[in-house]
Amino acid sequence: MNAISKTQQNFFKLTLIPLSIAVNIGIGLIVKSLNLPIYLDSIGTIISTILFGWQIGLITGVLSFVFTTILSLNPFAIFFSGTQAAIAILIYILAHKGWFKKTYSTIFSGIIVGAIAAIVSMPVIYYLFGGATGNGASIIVAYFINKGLSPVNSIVISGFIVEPIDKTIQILIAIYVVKNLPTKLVTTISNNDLIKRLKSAK
Amino acid sequence: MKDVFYSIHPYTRICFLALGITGTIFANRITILSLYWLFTLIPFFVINRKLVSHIKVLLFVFLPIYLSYILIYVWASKFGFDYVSFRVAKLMVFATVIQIFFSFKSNEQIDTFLKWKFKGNLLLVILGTFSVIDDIVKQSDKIVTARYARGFIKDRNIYNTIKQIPQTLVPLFAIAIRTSIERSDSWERKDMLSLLSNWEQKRYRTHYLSDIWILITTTLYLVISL
Repeated sequence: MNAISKTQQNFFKLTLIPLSIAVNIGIGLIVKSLNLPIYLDSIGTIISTILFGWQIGLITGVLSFVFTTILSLNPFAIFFSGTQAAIAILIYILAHKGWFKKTYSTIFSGIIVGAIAAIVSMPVIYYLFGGATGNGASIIVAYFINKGLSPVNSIVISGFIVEPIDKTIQILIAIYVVKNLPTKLVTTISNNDLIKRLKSAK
Repeated sequence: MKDVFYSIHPYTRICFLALGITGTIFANRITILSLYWLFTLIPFFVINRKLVSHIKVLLFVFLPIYLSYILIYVWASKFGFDYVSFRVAKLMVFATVIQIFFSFKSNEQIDTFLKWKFKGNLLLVILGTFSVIDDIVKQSDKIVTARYARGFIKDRNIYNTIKQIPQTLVPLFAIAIRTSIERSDSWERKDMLSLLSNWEQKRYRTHYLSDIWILITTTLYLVISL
């Protein structure tokens, strides 16, 4: 497979974003079908950001959540699209700083991304849901409120507990996927040094 | 019946969204929310045969939210069930308004987005997403089924199933990239952007009664809520 031309690159991006969005939604449905207690709703965003840069990652992340609402899978997903934008930008920065080369630094970057995601999501969770989002994090929120903490503090603490675990798992999975994609296919679509470095890293 | 209530006009949708969300923000009684949901929002789903998708949202999104509200506000914060029911009803109407706003059929997509002034690359991305979602979801389903059939997922405990996710995603992403390359080639040859900018918009087949009904009742809902 030869490298694609510049004009085709532009069309490639236009066709790739819808497919990445669909993969993001597809992953969500796989997680649902496997009855897993985690979200894994940002893997497509993370992979797109690593492979094609922060712009494609950001558009993929934001539109994935918009489409999750449009397709009636979760009417509130659209309000968390800001979190996806933050994740895409942060992943891009961390990837370029070389934080995904070693497993321990990847885990540490997952914790950072999770903490930032918790902070960005907090206003939506507090103002829209009052902390009751209907998932496992609500149990932690209820526990801390029962212990006498304010709702805001309880939401922040529950976010700091749940999000880093979820985001670390997602980043580890995304890095595995990028490393295991066929090299020929990846070099056809992207002349990204980062991917070469990732693929050569142990 | 299906043809008569074909759809809500794209401009009516925008007015409905603005009025519906403002009304829900200001609504301070559960009776108002319930009446609006029962007599304006639910009939829309019934007429357009989309009640099942709404029931799915109620079961899989709102039931867990209601339970977590009970946990946080009744068990942990000593609020009453009235307060919890009011908060959840507000969320439910809010989400239902959004669900109706986005509920257009596949053959209405292009005209609706053009009427909303979407154009160029963004419109192409949006329409592209609608067209590939089903394919990718089917592909992901096939990959999971194949892995089950080959016996890769023997014991369905959480650890084993999480371990299957990366292996499932590698072929899925490879398929997505290959499809993108093929599509970009075909879109370049067809000059999709020019095709889209020269798209002739059809006259919108909408039934004025449904548009008028949804606008009048939503305006009334807003006025009562204020």
